[in-house]
Amino acid sequence: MTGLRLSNIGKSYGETRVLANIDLDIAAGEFVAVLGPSGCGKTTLLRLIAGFDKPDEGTITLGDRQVAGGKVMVPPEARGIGIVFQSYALWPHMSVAENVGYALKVARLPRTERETRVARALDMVNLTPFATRRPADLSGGQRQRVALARCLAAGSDLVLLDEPLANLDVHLRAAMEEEFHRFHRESGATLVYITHDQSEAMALADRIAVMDKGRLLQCASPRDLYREPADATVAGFIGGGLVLPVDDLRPLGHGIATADLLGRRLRLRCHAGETARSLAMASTHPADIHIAAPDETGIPARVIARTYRGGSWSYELRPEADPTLKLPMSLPDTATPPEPGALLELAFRDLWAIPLADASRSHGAPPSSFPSPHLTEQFQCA
Amino acid sequence: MTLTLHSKGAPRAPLFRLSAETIVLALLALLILSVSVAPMLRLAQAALFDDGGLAVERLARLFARPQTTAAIWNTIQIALASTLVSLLVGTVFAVIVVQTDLPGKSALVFAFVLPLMIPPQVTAMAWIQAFSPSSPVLGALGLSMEAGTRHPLYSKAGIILLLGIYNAPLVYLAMQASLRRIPLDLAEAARAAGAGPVRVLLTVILPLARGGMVAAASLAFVSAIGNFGIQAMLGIPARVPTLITQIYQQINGLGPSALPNMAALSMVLTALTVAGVLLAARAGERNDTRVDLGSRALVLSPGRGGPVILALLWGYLVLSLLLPLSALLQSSLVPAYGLPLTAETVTLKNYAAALFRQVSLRDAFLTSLWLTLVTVGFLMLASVFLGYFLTWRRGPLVRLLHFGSEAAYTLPGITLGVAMILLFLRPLPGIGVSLYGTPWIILAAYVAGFLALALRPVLSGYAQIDRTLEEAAQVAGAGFLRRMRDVIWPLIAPTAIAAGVIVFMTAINEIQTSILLISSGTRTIGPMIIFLEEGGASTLAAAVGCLMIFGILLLMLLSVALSRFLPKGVLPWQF
Ligand SMILES: Nc1ncnc2c1ncn2[C@@H]1O[C@H](COP(=O)(O)OP(=O)(O)OP(=O)(O)O)[C@@H](O)[C@H]1O
Ligand SMILES: [Mg+2]
Repeated sequence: MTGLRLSNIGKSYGETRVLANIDLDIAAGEFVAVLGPSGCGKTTLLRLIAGFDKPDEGTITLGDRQVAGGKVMVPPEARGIGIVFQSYALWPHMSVAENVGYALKVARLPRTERETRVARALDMVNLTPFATRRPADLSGGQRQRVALARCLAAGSDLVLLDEPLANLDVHLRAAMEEEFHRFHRESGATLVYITHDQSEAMALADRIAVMDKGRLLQCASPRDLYREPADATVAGFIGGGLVLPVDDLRPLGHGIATADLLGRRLRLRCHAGETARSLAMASTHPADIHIAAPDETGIPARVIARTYRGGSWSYELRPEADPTLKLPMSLPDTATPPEPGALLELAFRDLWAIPLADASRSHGAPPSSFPSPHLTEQFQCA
Repeated sequence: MTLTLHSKGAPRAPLFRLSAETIVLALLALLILSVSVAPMLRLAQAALFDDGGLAVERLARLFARPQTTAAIWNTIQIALASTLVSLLVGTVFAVIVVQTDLPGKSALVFAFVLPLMIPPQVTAMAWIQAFSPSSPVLGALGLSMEAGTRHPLYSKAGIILLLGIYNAPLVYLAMQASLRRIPLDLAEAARAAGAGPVRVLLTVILPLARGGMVAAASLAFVSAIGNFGIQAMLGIPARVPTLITQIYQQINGLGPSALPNMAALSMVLTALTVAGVLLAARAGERNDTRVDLGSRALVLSPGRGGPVILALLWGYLVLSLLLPLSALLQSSLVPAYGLPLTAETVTLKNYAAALFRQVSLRDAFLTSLWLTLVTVGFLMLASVFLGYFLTWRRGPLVRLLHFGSEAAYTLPGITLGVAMILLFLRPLPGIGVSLYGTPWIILAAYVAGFLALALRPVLSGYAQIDRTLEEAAQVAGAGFLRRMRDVIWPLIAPTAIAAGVIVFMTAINEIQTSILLISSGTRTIGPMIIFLEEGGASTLAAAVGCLMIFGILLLMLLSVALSRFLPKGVLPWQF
């Protein structure tokens, strides 16, 4: 079993800083998705872990062996990892079985053992009948499964996947997601899965590491990420979240606080250690906005636009207290949906007080070689 | 549960595997240094310095000589004028091939590009025989000139014409690539705006292909400057001295004492070449280089003009290819030069002599064969490794490799010959033996001269390989040499073999470098034609020339037959 630890990783290409201060601890057997917008450095991170590139700062540890950092640089061929490439990277001049068994051949395993392991790997991805085919004669999904079988047969206990579904059509994606689940279950390997598709990450991963502009913003379970984003960027990114300014945040203990939002005093969830502040940010999701019950004091907002979405209406609302804000809301399909111009009373089902961002993280301070214990703790969420 | 494979061998592996790659890189750097950088430095040193320091006086005397100025002036004039001829012929041909839907284009292209593969000295001989006053073919057509008239090709105009026609396929190759890159919609927009086919061609397509035209002109210019075969076969009898023939004649006549001055002339030759290359690079920079959008060209239908164009094209090919070659063939089939070919005169004795009886010819051929095969084998190996580093690795050493392999290419063959003599005339340190006069010096020159030729297709082959295929093998635990053997080689092999074929065809008949480096003991086949022709054995020379062409043709046809195994754009003679 191999866990993976990245400590204070930094990487620049010429003048551009592509990665900075990445701290990430992945337990053996864990399935971690790395999520972030295009160009945020996901592939770069994967190439550093694989050993195709050398980090400028920081160390990488696989299991208990340091593989990169300082003077150490273990080449990819000696790291014992598996990769599933977006382009599959199947060798066109070898049959499916030869592709799957190549690592075993390089490792000089006896022929009989090689054959059993290849057969088992092919069986696990249901490709036994295709063993003698060339990759060119397979469909996209089948090729992806060959790539998985290649990792299975090699017995790599750390497998990196770089947007493995990006080349497949929507129907195939669902089927392959199931395949990855099974792969994870049966191989017991540690998986680092790169994607820019949130729903894919949510569906598959034990934890999601959210990246933006070369930084790791938060690493948490899908539910924590959705309900308790660590900063405004994550809050806005995950699940189409909304970030709203609040005044006079006062923690009441037990993870509950109150604050002023759009002229009303409301209850929020918050960190246990949250401090009282005059200005703060709250996050919520469109699904958590609804029309206030008759006995509730709601927030008055006017309907600007509405769109029929088939079975529901999506609304755009402007709160009377702050006309610069726009709030989305979804209502079930009824015969008399509110018209544009109507004044509604809104309520929030759930609000989360975004914790105060760590100064060294969000303000681009120079990388320190000794990450504060607090920081490491924050991103070691196991 | 599956066991981990890699941890076992890992501790000793990294160091060893890293060094396999480093060793190969170091060997390549050494190769480039010794075949490209060292000869150039040695050449400059010999040209500019004497025992007593900078050789100002000697150089002043050299450049004050009328022959020298005449040679320089002739070279420039001939190169420029012949470039114009090539540009005209090659562009017209490229436009017709790319932009029209005429039938039989594959055959047209094959016939048009074929002459490029024929050694220039053979082409020159064929033309000389076809258009001489006692020409066998002109005579047969009733067009023969009066006996005693001066041969029309033995003149500056003759050299220009022949060089122009010889290099036209180069222009065609560069132009057709650039024409294919012009986005279809630009031409279609002009059609939609009401412009007719000719107008679209003149106002849209050709202006957009300007970049390709400059590149093509530079190629033709550089090849014309360095074409020894034609300049020697026509220029020496015509007494039109050029740089290249001066260098050859002086070294041939005066021996090593002429070397310093000829090194200086070689540098002038190199300077002209580099100027041609740089000019094209500058012009290329200013050009808008678009990405290739599906590479579909606008097809302009020539309509009723079609048959006329076809007739003109094939007429040109008959005149420039068929006529000279059939003259050569006729000469090779008669016992003495000038005899008409009839049922009584026809004989195979020239072929018998060339193939079996003439010991010197046979030896020369065998020497050329093994030199070429060793060169091909070595360059295929070297270019596959070199291509790997140039395509996928970065770093100062890789930049040096890049520079070195390009530099060797710009060195004209004869310059390389002079440089090689200078480098290897003195006994090698340590061994105490001089390579001069042995085949090894020729081998070194071939490796230097053809490295870039082999590298070019291999690089284009690498560009079409997905890098992740190699990375996947790396992840599977395969070290550098193992990946090279199991993954890279199977993928690049077709291209490398095609590169080998191209090098084979060029090296087997190589003349300009060899002619300086051969000695009575080791001769190669390329220069033999000049010696035979000079010695009056024209029919034998014709037979040797025909054999060379048969060989080339065979290889070309073979490679076309195997072309479906090749990536696109590797074989120049394929449409
Ligand atoms: N070899 C390189 N040289 C220079 N810059 C590079 C190189 N590789 C990546 N970059 C830059 O680093 C940044 C991060 O690239 P990376 O490929 O890691 O992004 P990504 O998150 O994988 O994006 P995507 O989702 O589009 O694949 C980009 O701005 C990219 O331009
Ligand atoms: Mg990427």
